[in-house]
Amino acid sequence: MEKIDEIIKEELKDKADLFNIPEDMSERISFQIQQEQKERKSKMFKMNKKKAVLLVACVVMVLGCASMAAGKVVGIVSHSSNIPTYTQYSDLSKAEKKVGVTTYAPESFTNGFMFKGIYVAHSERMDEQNQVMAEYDYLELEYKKDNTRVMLDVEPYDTITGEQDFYSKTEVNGVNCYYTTLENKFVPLDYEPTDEEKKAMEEGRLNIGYGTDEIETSISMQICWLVDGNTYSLFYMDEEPVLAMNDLMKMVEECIGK
Amino acid sequence: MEEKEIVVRMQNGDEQAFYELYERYKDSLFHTACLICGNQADGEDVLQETFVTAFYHCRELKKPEMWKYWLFQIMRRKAFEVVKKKKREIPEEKIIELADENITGQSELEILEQEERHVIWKVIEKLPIKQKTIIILFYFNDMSVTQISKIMECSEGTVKSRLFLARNRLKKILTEEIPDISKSVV
Repeated sequence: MEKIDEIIKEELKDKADLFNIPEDMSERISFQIQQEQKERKSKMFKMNKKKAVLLVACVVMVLGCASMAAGKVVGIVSHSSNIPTYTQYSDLSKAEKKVGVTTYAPESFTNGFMFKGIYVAHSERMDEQNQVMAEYDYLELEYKKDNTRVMLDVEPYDTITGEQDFYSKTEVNGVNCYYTTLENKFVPLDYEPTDEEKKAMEEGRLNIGYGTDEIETSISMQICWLVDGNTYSLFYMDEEPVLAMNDLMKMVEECIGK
Repeated sequence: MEEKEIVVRMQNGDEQAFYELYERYKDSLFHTACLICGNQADGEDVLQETFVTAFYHCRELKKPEMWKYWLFQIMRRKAFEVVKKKKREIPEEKIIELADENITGQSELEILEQEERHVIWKVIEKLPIKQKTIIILFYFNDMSVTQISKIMECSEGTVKSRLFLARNRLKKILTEEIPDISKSVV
């Protein structure tokens, strides 16, 4: 070893000695791991739960993309509990009053879907500077038939106007309804979307959700409509769909006709 | 217990094994990260992120015997991200200030050598990040060219070439900056 090698070696050692590892570093690491585990469990739980609140993620994705294009709302953060706020249909008016909406929600649909519960959720709509543009509570109504769930969301906010580009349009009982079918892919945190997937996401055909251990796919369908400034959204998601868009459209007819 | 066994235990969900490995590697990783990033705060962040990432992705490591290189690879990537993101100047003055506190009582030759080393550090700091990291891994961590190539994810030839260039640059600067000392030591 030449003298210069010794000098470099000594110099690096001297510099390194000036840095001291904090005593609480292992606690910091442990804390971060615990926090991330909680977040991951929460993500996984939400996925299993409903596929119930994931629906929110999908709505966020679709509307979020549209909003990006419009240069207005660029992010939506939604929270809802995994426990229904109300489990009796007779509490519907109480829930409506709490949030300030009229849901026109039936107790059951003619295709056999039955009311199961009401979740009071919270939504924040953010602009490009991450500033909250609007913040409000809304209702998620859960309907179930066998193991299949359908959710009806009612928000006291117009999330449709200016966001229709990603939807097909039809009319039900004189009300404009916007509908879309979306492919959902849930992937591990380090997943990198392909160019094809990026294009599909831009076009609003694909939603990628992060946080699963393995890749999972599902299909979701959504129909939105606006009444008195409130947004109504019927949502269904399944790995192997047993409902078609027509089935959902008939359920919407029952809501609008109520 | 052999390190490989501890890694396997960790991969099977044994948290104690994870912290055993943390104890084994925290110092070398932390000091290497600080040297690459140039400051304590970023070194701490890199160390923390390295172990959190290792915790969550340890099952992806197919060869447990490669744990050390895999861990250093994570640290190197995290450190590069920090350096690229912040492009922060090294708090060199602070380091020199701290070093100067120990000058009293030293012989002229020692003081001269210390001055020489500051020059060396300044040059190391200004090296391109890949050259700088190779210098640190080679001289500070006593790693071989083969080991460094695994961490840097490049060929041994590339490591040799970068090491050669960096060393020559350091030698040249040292000769120019402190010719008297250089004559005797280089």
